[in-house]
Amino acid sequence: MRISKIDLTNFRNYENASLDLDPGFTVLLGKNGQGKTNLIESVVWASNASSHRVSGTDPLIRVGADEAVLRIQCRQGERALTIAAQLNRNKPTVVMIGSHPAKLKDLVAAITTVVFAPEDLALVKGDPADRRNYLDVLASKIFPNYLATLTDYERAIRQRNSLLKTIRGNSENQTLDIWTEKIISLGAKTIEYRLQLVKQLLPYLEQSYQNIAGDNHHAGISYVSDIADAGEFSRDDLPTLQEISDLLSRALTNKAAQEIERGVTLAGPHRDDVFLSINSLPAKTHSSHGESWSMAISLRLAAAKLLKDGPLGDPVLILDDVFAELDVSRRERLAEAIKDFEQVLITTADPEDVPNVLRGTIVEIETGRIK
Amino acid sequence: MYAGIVQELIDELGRLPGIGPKSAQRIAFHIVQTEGFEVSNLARVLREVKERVKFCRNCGNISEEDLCSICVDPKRDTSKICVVEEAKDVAAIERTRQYRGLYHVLGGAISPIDGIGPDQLRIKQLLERLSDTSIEEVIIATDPNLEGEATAVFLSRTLSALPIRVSRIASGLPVGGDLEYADEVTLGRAFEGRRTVND
Repeated sequence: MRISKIDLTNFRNYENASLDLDPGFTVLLGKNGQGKTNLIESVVWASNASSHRVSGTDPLIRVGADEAVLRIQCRQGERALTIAAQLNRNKPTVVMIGSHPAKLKDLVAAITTVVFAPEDLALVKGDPADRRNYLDVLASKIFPNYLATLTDYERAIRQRNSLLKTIRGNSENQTLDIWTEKIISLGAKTIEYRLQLVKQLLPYLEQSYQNIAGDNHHAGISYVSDIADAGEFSRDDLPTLQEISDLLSRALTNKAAQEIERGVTLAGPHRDDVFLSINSLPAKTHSSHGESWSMAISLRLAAAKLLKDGPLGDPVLILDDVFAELDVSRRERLAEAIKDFEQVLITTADPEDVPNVLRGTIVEIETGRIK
Repeated sequence: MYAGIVQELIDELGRLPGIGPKSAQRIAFHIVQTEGFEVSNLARVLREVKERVKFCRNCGNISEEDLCSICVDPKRDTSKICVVEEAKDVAAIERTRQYRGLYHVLGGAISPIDGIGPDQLRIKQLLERLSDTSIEEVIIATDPNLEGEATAVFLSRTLSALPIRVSRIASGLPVGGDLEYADEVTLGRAFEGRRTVND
């Protein structure tokens, strides 16, 4: 897949901008604060229905404007597709795919991108929520039902937490069981998808980490949850949906008293994590700064390669200011690993940071204008 | 902003569901500018609708009398009660002209976020109606979303002790549509709810 054209109106610091893109490598060059990242953020938004930097749409609308419009034209093989969206300050976002009105969630299936960004270090060093988000974004692209299941699950958690708060100290509520069952069925399904994803990712991550850090290094990834003993979710034969449901059900039963006391749901995929290891040591606590970067990049690279081998084909790779974070050898190794992708968009303040093999078309950006 | 009363009209119209500021403005100007626009009739209807329309004592549907036109209709099949969330769902099912039984409007769905539990819905009234032994079937037609499903589960459990058939309307593919255009969740549901055709 590749992006062939971006048109923006009142998006971030762009009053009006239009950019044609070729396949291969494009370097968006500009000093800090000129709008390089804003430009690719429009592509990320069209791909995930959310930004990789902020939540909500208000920050994406240019200061002083009430609405932002973005049009992203892309091509998959011979097929051309235009995604258009109007982000409104006080009204819901309006989306068109081709010439048809669409829902926000339909965007997730339309364009696939993988974004490498400075924030990625949080995948290794940050909170479990950062790692869950990594799985969720990727799973939404790979399993068509995932997003709907997760959305329902998150809503069921909010409903159940509200109920737990209102019944504080009184376990005799007649509807708690119903919400608990919803949590179990939707939560088990969510975990099942995530386990499948982690299993599919593992070989790609091992390979990617060796690409970036060298052949004698080994990276691992496994899914961890309070509902099961360590190792339960990393065996070769994944647990069945029924087994996951039973585990989740037992965990919720064990925590029932505590949940009523605290007013929150204490077990389920919203509290799970991804365990990352480098040479059998936990990456979060034992990796150096350089190793952490290698791991963060390998996670993105593994996601990109997993998508590439799937029915959606090459995702558009977006490297947002990452070369500045990497030493020369990691830069060269990353460049080598991604040079076969159909389209790579790179933002940088310094062209010297970008390895030679990736210096394709150069687009200069200055104060919200494309030169 | 417009002067005084015109802006007040725009604001009032804008409070209505489905009417944004632009539409409110358009309607307000239509009322103000169009010659021969009979506004007194509209005003009368608006006032009377609030005075005359109430909720059916029996089923909770909107009605001008104590009992709604469906509850008093002798041709209706009184052995069936269809449970819906809102009065507008009654109108939707009536348009099918297939269902000839009675209704029961709950007034919403179980949603702890909005402070709605079974006690806030007309469930007690439903149980009172079901003490009438001539009722044979309750059809649960709450929305096929998270809250509607939770309400359906609650109802089916509450009613399980009674000697009444309890059913849930099916969800799945829209008629006249193409299978290929159905979204994955709906198609998945349709598969779960498939039925045998060769028996």
